[in-house]
Amino acid sequence: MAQFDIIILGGGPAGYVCAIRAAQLGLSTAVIEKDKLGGVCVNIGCIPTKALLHSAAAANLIAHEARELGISTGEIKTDYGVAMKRSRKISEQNSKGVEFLMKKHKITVIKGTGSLLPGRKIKVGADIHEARKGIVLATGTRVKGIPQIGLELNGTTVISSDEALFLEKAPATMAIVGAGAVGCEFADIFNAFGSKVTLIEAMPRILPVEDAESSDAIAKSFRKRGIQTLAGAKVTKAVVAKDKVTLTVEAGGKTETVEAERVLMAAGRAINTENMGFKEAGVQLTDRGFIKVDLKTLETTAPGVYAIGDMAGPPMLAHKGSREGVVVAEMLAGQHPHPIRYDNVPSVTYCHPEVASIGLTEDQCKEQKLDYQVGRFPFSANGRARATNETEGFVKIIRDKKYGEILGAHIVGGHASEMIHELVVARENEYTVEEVDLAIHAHPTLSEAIAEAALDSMGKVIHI
Amino acid sequence: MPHSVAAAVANAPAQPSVSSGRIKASPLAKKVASDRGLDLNAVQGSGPDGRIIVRDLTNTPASSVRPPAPLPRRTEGEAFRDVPLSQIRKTIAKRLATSIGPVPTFYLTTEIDMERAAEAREALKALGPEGKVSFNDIIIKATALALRQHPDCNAWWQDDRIRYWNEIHVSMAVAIEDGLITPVIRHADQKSLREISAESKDLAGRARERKLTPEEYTGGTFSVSNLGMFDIDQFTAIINPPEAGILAIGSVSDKAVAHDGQVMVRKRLRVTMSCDHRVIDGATGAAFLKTLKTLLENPLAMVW
Repeated sequence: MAQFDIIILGGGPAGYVCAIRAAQLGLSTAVIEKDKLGGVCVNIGCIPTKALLHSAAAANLIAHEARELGISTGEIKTDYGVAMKRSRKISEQNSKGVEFLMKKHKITVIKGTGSLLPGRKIKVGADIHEARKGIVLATGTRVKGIPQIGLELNGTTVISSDEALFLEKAPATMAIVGAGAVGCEFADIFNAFGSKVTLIEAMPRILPVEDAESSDAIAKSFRKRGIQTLAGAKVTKAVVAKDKVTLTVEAGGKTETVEAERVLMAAGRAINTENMGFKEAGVQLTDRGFIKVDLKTLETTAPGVYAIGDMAGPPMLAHKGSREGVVVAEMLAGQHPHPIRYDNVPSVTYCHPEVASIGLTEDQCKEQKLDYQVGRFPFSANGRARATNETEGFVKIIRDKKYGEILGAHIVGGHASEMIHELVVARENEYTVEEVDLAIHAHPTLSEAIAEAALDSMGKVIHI
Repeated sequence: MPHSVAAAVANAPAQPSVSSGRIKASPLAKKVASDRGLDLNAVQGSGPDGRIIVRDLTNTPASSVRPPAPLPRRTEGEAFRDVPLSQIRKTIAKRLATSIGPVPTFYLTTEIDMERAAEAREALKALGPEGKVSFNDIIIKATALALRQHPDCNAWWQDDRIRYWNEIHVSMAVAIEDGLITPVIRHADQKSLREISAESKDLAGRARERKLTPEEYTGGTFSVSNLGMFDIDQFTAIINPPEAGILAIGSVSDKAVAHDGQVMVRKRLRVTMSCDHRVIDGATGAAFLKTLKTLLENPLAMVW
């Protein structure tokens, strides 16, 4: 029986980061991974989709802006298969990078499916491994279909991102069920590669967890590019044929029929808890199917067993899981890490324009009856954005009226994903809108829009 | 003495006042504290490197089930009046500070005959368990009443002004595991001895369990520190800025003294007052102590 200080089940962004931090702190560490290191994020999630979105952005740029920019091109052809292969290469590089990091930190990687046993033990195949300090569960989530309405994943006509990322060519027509971050990103990608995309969302607007103004901006941008969006829409019936799917969709009191070569299920994820002995070892689940943890320590109901990442509860984001991994590693090494502020985890959708946010939406501020003031600045009034043809979108900052606290911030724009962190740092350190403005912003930059939105929330905007 | 008091005030380093020295606090926490009149010096920060964040000001400790008692608001009119420094006060402040340190302190000691106070205490005890009060409770009550007669000692040094409080909030130093904390008995001059006794017991108990909210240990206008239970005859306590005075209370002990022309054994108490000379002058402090002595030597005067 091999012994380690800490054994991590799952080598995704939560698990492998936890392992590296544990090893840095001198703990003997093992990671059990049944597939490729890096998990969904590196292999079939965050990373390859960003590669495809880059292809999509380039295609849109060349098709729609080249002439205006003084570049003449011949006929433009897109090839999803080529873009897909490039994305695979990047995923493989990243996964290899994680392998290298495991070696560098002398972390034992055990290939196989782990099964939790009572008393901080894990069985992989015939071997039993014991953890002296703690076992960390980080097995993540996977895409699930909606079998209730006949949309069971079949890998051909009804697919998930797992298959979409490996398609050799873009389908002529695609229906995407679920318009959260994943749905919107694939809508952007396949639209750029020539598919006729219909985006279907059950909630009243696309990107339902984002601020309503962000949703509206993306819906408008998508409409302009020919992506059909059906929000507040319910798929009531699905007829799955060999080469197409016919969906009956009820939206706004009307019934529509949507035909598509492929249906991409981008709604809902299932937590990977089955057949790993969790229940028998005393690890309980919440009503929503996540692992029940003490949010301060991330310990499960089984003593000495911790859970991090998607399975520990929302938000299901790689960066949230990574931070949980660091915190658990530091706790197990006897340190007192800074507690995670779950209300300060940024959320990003990488469609074009990008959507990024931190904190509360305006609707949430209303619900909580907060006394707030909104500051806005459109990129159309920003010199740098005009220079680079990225005038879509805005920065919106919601400020508490009394103390100037940044209650929430929302950015829609070409580089929103990179820009949001100024406001994440501000919120984490309890800077108010005044400190954001006091920091001098270089000119000309898109980030000036953040300072202007901060000023606008105090009624002092300069450039509009 | 069941609830008690300052082991460490005498040893504790003088804390910087809000206006002098850098306090690690987030911009938001600073704004909230200034709005609510909280003294950030008294707040334990939970952010990186002990930085004070807003939660440290607003969070009632999770384990505390008891909601904080509403503060009595019994003073008519303004809580205080600010008096800008006169030229002479400015000069006195500057010269004294250069001479002795950030808080130019001087000390006044007096010995108080506690025979009657002890009798009163015994008489109250005979009323039943509710009547059990400590010497410290009696001293807090007397201090508050003496401050009412000597508002010049009930003040805060504010760098460019002196804030004379119309309200009397007595900070009482309580020793806790790794230091001390000064919970505040608010409007102590207007509270009965029974109320003061109950409140000081509760505050001291929760102070030791670290369950006080910042509102409960900030905003005092004058301090009392007691080392009597350690058999200390007399000591000097360090002023808790921005307050201008603190009383160091020794033990109540039997001593042979001249009384009415005879040598007798009497219960005696030595009290030393530390005064911030920028606010309180020698004669001012002495007059306050004289009143305190009168009240303690003739406890009936407290209800007179």
